[in-house]
Amino acid sequence: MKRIYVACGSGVATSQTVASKIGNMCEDENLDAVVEAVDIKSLESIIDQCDIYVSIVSSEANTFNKPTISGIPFLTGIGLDDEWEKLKGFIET
Amino acid sequence: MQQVGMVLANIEKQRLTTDRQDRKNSFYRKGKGGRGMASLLHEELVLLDYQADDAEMLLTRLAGVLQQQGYVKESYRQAILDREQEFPTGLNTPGVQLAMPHAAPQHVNEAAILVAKLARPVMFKEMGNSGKDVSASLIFMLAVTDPKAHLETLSKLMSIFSQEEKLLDVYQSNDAKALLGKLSAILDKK
Repeated sequence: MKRIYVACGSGVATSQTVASKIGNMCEDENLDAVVEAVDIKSLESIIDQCDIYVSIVSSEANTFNKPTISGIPFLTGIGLDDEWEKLKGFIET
Repeated sequence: MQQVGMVLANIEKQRLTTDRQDRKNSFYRKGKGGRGMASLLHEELVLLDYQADDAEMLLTRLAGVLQQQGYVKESYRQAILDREQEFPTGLNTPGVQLAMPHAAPQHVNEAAILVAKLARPVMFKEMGNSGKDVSASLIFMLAVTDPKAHLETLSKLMSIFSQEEKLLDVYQSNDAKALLGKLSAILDKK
């Protein structure tokens, strides 16, 4: 099972919503993954516990040695197919 | 065996009656108060043809509206400005570009969503790492007390961000009532 973290600035709205959307999409396709929303400040200390990182913040300060995709397409729908394929690829490897 | 069946049937009947009563009660409350109890939308928080020169002025004023109505604390304004600086919330959504500024729950008294349709677009930065500008014409300012409790509403709100037609429909409302009606049909739908 793959553990996916979604992080945004405060963990208040965006990451929760994106996490829930990705969770539903995984469920629809029977992908073995759990998705959690985390706030960016606690991310650094727990990043090791996840397999895939969905980023909604500036990448400069927050690059980790983890497979990473962008969470924005899950909000706007623009570029969603590409990002979803990428995520599925990470989940299935 | 038969008895167990009857007990179960009775429980089921009771459950259905309670459900019905709950529905009736909530309908009653809605009818009486003019809005659903759980709704985060309020007519006094729908602003049309709103004018501001830049994002800072806009955010300061909108936070002021929320504070005046008691939804947020005084600290909310600065929290919104700081957060927008560090983690911008503009989105290059199809049809009409928007921003959804928000701040941590400790600055909020009561959860609400303020909606502002701008007279002229205001420049925001795009959420995420693109560094792109967003020429926002629609603002959803979120006052959230408990992210988990409002997840469903927020998800519904954000679900229209990717649907150009729905987003434009909300945006092109002529008055606050119409906008509120369209948006609550989306957000408060069970």
